[in-house]
Amino acid sequence: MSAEGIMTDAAPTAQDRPGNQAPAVMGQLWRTGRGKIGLILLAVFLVYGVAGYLAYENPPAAGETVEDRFRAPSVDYLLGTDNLGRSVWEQLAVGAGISLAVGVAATAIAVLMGSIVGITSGYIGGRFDQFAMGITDMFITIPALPLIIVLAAVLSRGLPTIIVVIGVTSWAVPARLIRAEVLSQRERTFILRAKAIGMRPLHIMWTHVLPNVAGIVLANAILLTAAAILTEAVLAFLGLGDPSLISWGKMLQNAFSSGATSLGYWWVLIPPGLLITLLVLSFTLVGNALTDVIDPRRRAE
Amino acid sequence: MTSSLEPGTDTGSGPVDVPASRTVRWRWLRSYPARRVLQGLITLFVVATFNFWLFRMLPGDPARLIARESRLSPEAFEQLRESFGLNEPAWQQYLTYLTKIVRFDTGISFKARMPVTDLLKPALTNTLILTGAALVLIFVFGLAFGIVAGWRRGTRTDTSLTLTALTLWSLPTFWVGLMLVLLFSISLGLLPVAGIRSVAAIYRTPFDEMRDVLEHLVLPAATIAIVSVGSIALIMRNSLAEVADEDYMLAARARGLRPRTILWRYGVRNAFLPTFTLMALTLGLLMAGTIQTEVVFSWPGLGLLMYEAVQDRDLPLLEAAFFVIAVIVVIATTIADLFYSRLDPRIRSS
Repeated sequence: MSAEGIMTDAAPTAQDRPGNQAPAVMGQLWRTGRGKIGLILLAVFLVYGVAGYLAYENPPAAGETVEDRFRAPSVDYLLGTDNLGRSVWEQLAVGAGISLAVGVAATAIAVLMGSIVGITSGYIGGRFDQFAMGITDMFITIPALPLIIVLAAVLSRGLPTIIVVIGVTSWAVPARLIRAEVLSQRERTFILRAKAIGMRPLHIMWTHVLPNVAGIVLANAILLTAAAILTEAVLAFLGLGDPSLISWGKMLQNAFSSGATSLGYWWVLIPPGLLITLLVLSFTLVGNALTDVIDPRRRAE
Repeated sequence: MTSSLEPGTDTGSGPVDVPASRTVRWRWLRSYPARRVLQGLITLFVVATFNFWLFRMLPGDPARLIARESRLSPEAFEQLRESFGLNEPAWQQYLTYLTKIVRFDTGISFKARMPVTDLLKPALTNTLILTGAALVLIFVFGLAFGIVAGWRRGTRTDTSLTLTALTLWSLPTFWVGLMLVLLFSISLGLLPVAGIRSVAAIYRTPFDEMRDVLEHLVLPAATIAIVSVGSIALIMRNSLAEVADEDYMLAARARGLRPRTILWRYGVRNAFLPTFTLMALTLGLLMAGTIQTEVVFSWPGLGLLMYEAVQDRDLPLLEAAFFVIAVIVVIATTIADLFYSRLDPRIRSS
């Protein structure tokens, strides 16, 4: 406990205490045009996803008669029906939750793995660092989507599989990023002092290194979420998604495999893709703006 | 210089009585290119190992998987096990597998019942045609947009180009393909819907065939390019913006050089190198786009092969296609890195 007292003396600058900077960073983020649009969009999608989850069953009920198939948009069916007579409107609403859940959960796995590898590698350094970064670089080189497809094809179909597969193939970039940050923090005075007074490495990492890399990790995690949502859509489109659930990618797969493209049934093709794009874009905008706000080199501009 | 020629000091772990000439001969192994190529080879080795163990770790007997539809007699089943080498111990199977990979023998397709290599060869050519065409589009448009945005940094043009780039990146590639088909093939009837050649086409001249293939190539190549062009433009923009703050740019301005000269001779020239390296890193992403595009357009390449292998649960084909894609990406990134290290000596020493 006394160590904490010494620490506050040793680290009086605002730079060393990014926890207090959070409101300032949020303010700066809001002031960038991109950040504002992205945050508003994200909030809308969050509400939409929760409302869709509460309001409708997944998957929505199929149509009763053959005539219900591929109904064009009308007053009864706002966005028409698909090849099984299911309401496109309802499917869109239940799909939002799936996209958000997969995106956030897969990113959590990736960031956790990336943090463990990045922090230990950067902190321990030396041979261990070389070895760990060699493996990390390998994972960066191996093309991700083909690897994900192979894994998803072999493992049992389901939402957990999708989440884990996307998560465990996305940790390499955050690991590299976090390691670079840790390396730059490692020789800072307050860390050296913490070491000098005999704090355990794990404790130093947890209380001092992690808070200092949190900003850059968060920015990267938001971008990773965008990528994870896209990957989920691709897997569902390729028929590797959860067969019992409707997602936006699955909607497009149904439309594609039932020949909706050739028939020109735009209402089953345009809305799901548009929503995927908007959701991914909202994460991309926030992540991109946050990177600019946090990165001191660009902040100086 | 003299100390490094002394036996033993150069190779830290080598035997002490190594003749000096031999030490010198093997020194290239420590050079950057050698290390970089070795790194690529290790990556491929890991991918091959992953493929092998994935195949073994599946629940059930692989031979059952192979013979799943045809009802085989016990004798025929045993013969099948024998022919796939499944009776040997695992490590021996692993060694056989690795030697076969080196000779590009990747097994027999479950579905097509023919060597996977025969399926891969034409698919590889088609994928390279598609990716190559897309790369040309990405290169030309991405660099052009990036240069404009980077040069007019902070202006309205820059902001709108950055926003456009982020939006393009957020598009699902397969959906872009579907939209292009809907617009250009179905609504307007301008371009073919799918495939690489017209069905049952008879070509009078090779020129006719080329035109047909090109017509089929336009939409798939555009699909891949539309999604990737944004990130390349952003990379070019950012490195141009970084270069703009350098002293030599200030000096060039102070000397009263024309803005156009400053942009091309000092700006773009220096910004191009980092862009080039980062572009190589996006190759994996490019392959992801290619796979989706091939599925949408039924373009008979590696991506479509992977997709069909997934549908048919054809594991040898799936793994081989994955391996070939990994080989393409590893070779391309290695070449890009070596090229970059020749141009920028700082890389070699790190």
